[in-house]
Amino acid sequence: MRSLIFARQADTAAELLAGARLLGASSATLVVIDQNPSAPDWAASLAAERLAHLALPEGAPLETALESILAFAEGEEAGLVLVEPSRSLKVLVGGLAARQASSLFCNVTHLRATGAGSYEAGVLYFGGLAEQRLALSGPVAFFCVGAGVFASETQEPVVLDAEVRAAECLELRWVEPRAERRGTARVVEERAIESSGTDLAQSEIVVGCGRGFRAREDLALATALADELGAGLACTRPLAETEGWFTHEQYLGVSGKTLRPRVYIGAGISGQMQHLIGINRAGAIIAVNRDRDAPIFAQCDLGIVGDLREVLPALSEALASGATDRG
Amino acid sequence: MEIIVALKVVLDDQDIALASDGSLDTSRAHQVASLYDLNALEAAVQLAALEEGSRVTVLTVGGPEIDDSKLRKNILARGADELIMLLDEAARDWGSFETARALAAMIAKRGTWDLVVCGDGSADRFAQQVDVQLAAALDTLVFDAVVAWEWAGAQDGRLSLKRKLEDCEQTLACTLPLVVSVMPDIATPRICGMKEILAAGKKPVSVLTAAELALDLADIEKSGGATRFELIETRAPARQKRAARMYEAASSEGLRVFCAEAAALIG
Ligand SMILES: Cc1cc2nc3c(=O)[nH]c(=O)nc-3n(C[C@H](O)[C@H](O)[C@H](O)COP(=O)(O)OP(=O)(O)OC[C@H]3O[C@@H](n4cnc5c(N)ncnc54)[C@H](O)[C@@H]3O)c2cc1C
Repeated sequence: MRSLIFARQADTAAELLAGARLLGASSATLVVIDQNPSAPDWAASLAAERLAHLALPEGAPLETALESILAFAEGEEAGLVLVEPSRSLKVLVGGLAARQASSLFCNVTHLRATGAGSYEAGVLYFGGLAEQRLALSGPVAFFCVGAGVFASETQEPVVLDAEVRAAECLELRWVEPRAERRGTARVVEERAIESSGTDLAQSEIVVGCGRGFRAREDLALATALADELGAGLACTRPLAETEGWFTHEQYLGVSGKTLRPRVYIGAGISGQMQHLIGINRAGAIIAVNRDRDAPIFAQCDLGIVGDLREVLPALSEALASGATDRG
Repeated sequence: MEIIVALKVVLDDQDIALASDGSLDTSRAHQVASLYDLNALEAAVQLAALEEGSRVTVLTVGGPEIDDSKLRKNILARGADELIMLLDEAARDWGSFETARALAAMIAKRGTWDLVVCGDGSADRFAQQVDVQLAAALDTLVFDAVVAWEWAGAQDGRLSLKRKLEDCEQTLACTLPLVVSVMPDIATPRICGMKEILAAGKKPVSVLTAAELALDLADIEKSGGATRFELIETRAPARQKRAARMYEAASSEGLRVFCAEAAALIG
């Protein structure tokens, strides 16, 4: 069985390539789509049998690349298509699935082959409140798989093999969207979103902020604590999205990042499952909330009922003086 | 502008209880409009207000149990002009492929349209694929992650979309028709008053069955056969048992012990 991998980054691509092998794919072709004239170096150095690259012409959104990859993808006769959970790729690969009378299965928590062309997949239900176990079968299956899913399957991190270079790189030709396809779109502006700087996935300790932070100024309390601990700073979805106080890459949960820090300190967070699913594999969870009935308390190791404006400075101070005591 | 909003009705997860064996008790959970679809509806109603003569039609697809008068009013009180439902036993377990085929048939039956607006993802499966599948069925382009839009008027006919992607903010100049899905921050759902709720009772609602749509379910299921899926079970994953040692900041002793224990956990 041949497979196609759609990814934007080296680490996710490596994990999906390894995943395709775990699922029994005999070959894997990595497809990379970007604005560069040729495939990026990281892609060439991954252990894919083949690399296909499509250079988007100026102004063309990635989502309009369907026609350009269609003939190639169909020609591959892949039985398995894996895609990383990025917005644009989910739209593109979902469109590819639709063309093959199939659909892209998302929010996959585990995935294993149960026979030729058949799989068992776990998918999140209500943001992680529960999981649905699905049996899938057919000549082709499409899955959107996030970081860590295959790694947890093998119990060991999936590593890049810098030695094996893709045997060949195929440059795909840009094909304009079909004229009958209605609606047109051009990119008129693109502004890079500044990254928060810290790689949360590498942070041993993460301080998470929720809507209990009423004013932006209050965030200084969380920053002070994070600085004291050398911790990463994260948040719930509304603080990144509605308030815009954090970058998109800083919110945790079903539609955001999933982390596994040694300690997670959540302040002013109610503890809805959609958020907790992003941190419930943390080593320890410490919760600060002024509502004693907040659901997060049912899933923490240590909790305090109180105002974060009182608790966080006290905690920072206690940790700082503890640090000096230890000298 | 003729704007279609695709809205999913789901169980209210606040009322789903977990049994000790991990199974779900949904007997007390009501059917509600999926949270983020309400933001999509609000955004659509606000956009329609910019262009005289515009209409907002809400389409929903599901099992017969999703229909009740409270839900109908809740949707129509939010400024939609009309509600069309496809209710069918078979639709209860549909995935995005089947749902989108049904929505496309409903749209075709209804007539002309300019824009389909979907929410960011449904509260239950959150696959974010109905918009994608629907665009394929309607043969249009589709864009997700829309956080704002600008409509320059019917003469110009262009809709400018602002999207928030993982690493960039992107502005697109688009022509209609188009399918989009919007992020919740595009518009905050309104709080409806008595007046809107009463007015909602007079707005048109039509209920269709798959047969009336000449939608051949067997055919849909067969053509969905490129990847067939069956639900084996739904259950809550075993959660790590946590100590939940609790303190109160109201007592200075509580705060002190909490800080000491936190320091010990942090190590
Ligand atoms: C489909 C879908 C996907 C979603 N995906 C995500 C996701 O990926 N990530 C995510 O985070 N959310 C997600 N959500 C949203 C999620 O359901 C919750 O709405 C969100 O996580 C709540 O954020 P919060 O805890 O910050 O806010 P709230 O629920 O409003 O909680 C605020 C808490 O702060 C406490 N508080 C208030 N003032 C103080 C104070 N002074 N001191 C201490 N405590 C205080 C309150 O008691 C309350 O418990 C999603 C929702 C849906 C429907």
